[in-house]
Amino acid sequence: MIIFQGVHKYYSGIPVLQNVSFSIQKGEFVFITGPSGSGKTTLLKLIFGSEFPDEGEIRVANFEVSNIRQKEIPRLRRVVSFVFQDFRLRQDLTVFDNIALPLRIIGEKEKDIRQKVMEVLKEVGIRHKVESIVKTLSGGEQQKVAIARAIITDPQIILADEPTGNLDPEASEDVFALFKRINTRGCTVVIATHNSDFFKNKQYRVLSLKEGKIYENSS
Amino acid sequence: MKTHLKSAINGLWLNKWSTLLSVISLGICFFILTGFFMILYNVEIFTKRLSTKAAIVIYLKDQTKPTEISAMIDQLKKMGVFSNIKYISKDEAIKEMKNIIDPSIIELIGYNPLSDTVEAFIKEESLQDIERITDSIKKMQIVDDVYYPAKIIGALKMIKITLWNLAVVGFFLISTAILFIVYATIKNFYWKKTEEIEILKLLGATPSYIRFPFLIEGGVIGLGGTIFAGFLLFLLYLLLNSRSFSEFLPAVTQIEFPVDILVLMPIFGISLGVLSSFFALGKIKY
Repeated sequence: MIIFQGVHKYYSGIPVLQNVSFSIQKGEFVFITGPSGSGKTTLLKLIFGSEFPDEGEIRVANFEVSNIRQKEIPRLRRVVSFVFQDFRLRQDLTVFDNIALPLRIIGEKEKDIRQKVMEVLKEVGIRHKVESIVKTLSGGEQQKVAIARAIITDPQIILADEPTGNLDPEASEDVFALFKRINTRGCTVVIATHNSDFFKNKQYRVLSLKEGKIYENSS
Repeated sequence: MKTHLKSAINGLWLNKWSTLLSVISLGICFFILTGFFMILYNVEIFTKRLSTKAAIVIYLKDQTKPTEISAMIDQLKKMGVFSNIKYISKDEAIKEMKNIIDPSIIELIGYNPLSDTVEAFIKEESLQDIERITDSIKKMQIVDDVYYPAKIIGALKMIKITLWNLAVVGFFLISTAILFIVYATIKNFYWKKTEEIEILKLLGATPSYIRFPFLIEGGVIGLGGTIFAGFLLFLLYLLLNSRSFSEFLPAVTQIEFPVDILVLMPIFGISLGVLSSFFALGKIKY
């Protein structure tokens, strides 16, 4: 599903990732951890096709991301969803319109969109907020909207960059539980976080980044 | 399509002042452009009318027989370049002359000094061949001399060419101005929506999906400009047809107004709007 082979990435000549190789299988739940500036976000961006490696090969769900053409990127992003720490939601739109956006992009019918949005809102537990304007929601609720938007197209992979970074412990637990539920449906989940509380003393696959190198260890 | 239309309408509404100013600017540009076209259109009509009134006068040799004259007229008709051919005998010509000049002066000469003549009115489409036509007429046996208003026709040709060239230059300058106005407006709209566009890119939107609302916005601005220009033209039309104006400038009220342009203008406006929006967005990169 995700294969990194000898990947190097430099920013202004400074190495951020050095000879990174790993693979993630379909349906896995993986944490990527490491201190700030260790390259976690860069690694997720490389999977998502918003950054490209300077050396090495990256394969994500049948896409050769290291050599991907510009016109293939939208197709990649329909099978790989990204949940951001700062949510990246349209603050001026309602919860419904934010979640409906990926479906409108792929040209789904309005009737089907309504049904799917209501289902996913039920799943993330904020159905009662459907007509609320996003900017009026709390951080935890906004993150749930972002997750709902990420899963509405039923992607093969979900990437999350510090998804609980701006949330209180209770909201963080909720969001984490949500990712676990999504994973049980067969979706591959990759979470970048420096918060080890989520995987401490639990059986998760953890990829640690340190000084641009990757180390594999199970929690 | 509904989503794109909604997005475009929202975009135009959010930037209503920029939209309004662009529409007014485009309207003025289209008004000037149509003005150029109207001047050109009327000059065409004017030159056509004037040149068809200018006749080639063919002076015949003395003692030409009526059969020879009618044979020559048949020959002129066969050339197919004249709209009207009129024979004037020397007796008719002197009669007409007596209406202009004091008859006693003519009687002093003691004989009729005029020649039999043929007036041939050339068709507009054959005007450019007038020299060749007169040369071939001169070669006819019974023809003494041929006269045509070369200077007038030459001047008309020159005016027409000058105006056409000016109109072409004006057309390109104003079209470029229109392109730039829409370009700057749409670029401004695009920058204001940078965050929204980044979100769309992250969600897998294709470049055409991102572009479409902006193309609609450009088209609407172009259309708005032509509607505004149409309104200005209507006001001008009312002014030209008002009684006080016709008394003040009687020659101007002869201006003809091509109605077809009112159909072509919106199509032109939409096309220019969409085209410049396309350029304004450039290549959408991920």
